[in-house]
Amino acid sequence: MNDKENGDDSLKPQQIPSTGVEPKQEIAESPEAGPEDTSPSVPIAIEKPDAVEAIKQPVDADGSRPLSVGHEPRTDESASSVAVKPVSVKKPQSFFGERPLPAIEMAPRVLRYQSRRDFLALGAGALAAVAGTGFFLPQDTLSRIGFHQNMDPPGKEWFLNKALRVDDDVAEALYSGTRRVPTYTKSQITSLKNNYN
Amino acid sequence: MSHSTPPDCESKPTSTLPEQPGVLVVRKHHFLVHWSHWLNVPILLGLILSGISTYWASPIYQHKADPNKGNTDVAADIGIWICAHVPGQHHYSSPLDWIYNHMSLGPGMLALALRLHWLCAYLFMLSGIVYVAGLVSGGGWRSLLPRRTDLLDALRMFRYYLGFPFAKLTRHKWLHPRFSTKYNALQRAAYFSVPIAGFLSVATGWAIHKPMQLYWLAALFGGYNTARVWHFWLMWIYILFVVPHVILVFADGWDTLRSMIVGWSTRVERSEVVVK
Repeated sequence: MNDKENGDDSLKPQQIPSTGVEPKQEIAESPEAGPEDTSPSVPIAIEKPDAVEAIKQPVDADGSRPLSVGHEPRTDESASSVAVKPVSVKKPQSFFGERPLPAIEMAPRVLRYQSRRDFLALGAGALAAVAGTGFFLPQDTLSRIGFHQNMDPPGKEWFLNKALRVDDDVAEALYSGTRRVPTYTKSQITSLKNNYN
Repeated sequence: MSHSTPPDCESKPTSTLPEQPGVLVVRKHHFLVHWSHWLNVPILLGLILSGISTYWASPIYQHKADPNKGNTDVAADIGIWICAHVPGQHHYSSPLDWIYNHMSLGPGMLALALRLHWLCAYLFMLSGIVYVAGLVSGGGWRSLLPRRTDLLDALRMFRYYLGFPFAKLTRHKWLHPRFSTKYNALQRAAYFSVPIAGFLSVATGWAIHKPMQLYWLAALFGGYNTARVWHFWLMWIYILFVVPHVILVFADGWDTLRSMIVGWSTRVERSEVVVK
């Protein structure tokens, strides 16, 4: 698990290892994300989607994995000992070419707040889905999985019938008098192969 | 939110609390994409359960009637086999219905299963529209497009996944192939295929549901019965996709899972640090 990504020990922009492109380097400036922040609903961000003229990609000494900015910060000394290879500029080549995602600097507490909020929303959604399952499943199915209590709410039929009504409306819209089910001769009739027999 | 500080105040901080450094993040998924992604979980579950219940009424895969039990359904044969060979299932009361009792709403409830299936199908179509809208407005569709190098890259990833468990066991370093794209070739193949499978599921579903009104659609899939076969096997694509998808998301780490819930990722390694 990449727990360092929760923001507390993330890399300061100033601590991004040198890539040999310093003269032109400009990292998204961090607006102060001090503890006095009280309105975390809006990311403190400088988004520069249009400013992506060059891309740099720090490389670990062993070249095995690219350095995630979310990883532990390095000191200048350690950074200088790392083999760093600037990656060539890749502007979008075509309409179908993948664009690099613009980096946004966000206060850690904002990130934590948003994460917490969205996880809670997902949890609420999961609970709603479980409740919805209980609402829609037939009583026989519920009994089979261990819910013997009668969970056949009155609104269920109404809701399913509404969905059926929508489907009927679609059928009506698609109806054409010129298209009819063909009439078969008796010799064309085959035996029914269903599980009702 | 902090605001810009007037120059004369810069040397006189009013707060003694240290400033926290910012975190670089990228918006990996548009909110419509991750919302529709999660919505699909209960919807697909409902579609599969109600779909197999519907299948029970008229199975696609049948054989000549069994002389002893009169059974023609292959799914019932599988249930009989399970009850005969799987420990703990020998005394199951209805071996013929084992599959339907464990993988669907149950046998003998066609009407209810169809109503639920249609409800879920309309929700699935809505969710699909939301997903496409998210892909278009967030530009994420570009990451899903296949590339010329995908075959080679897919083989590299395949080799990586094959060797990874052995490398772990033998404590050897096993390097992850590097890509300069949002997804690796295997991910891209999967994430590109699944929306297509979704589209085909909807199309074959309509072909089965309205074979007279949409006769041309049924004909496109080879007729009513063949469209049913398509529809059935497209369901298996979802099932076969979901299992490795979930395993790999957890294997890939917290950031990947979180980005699908929150939308943000703190993995900025690929390309995003802006240099002007």
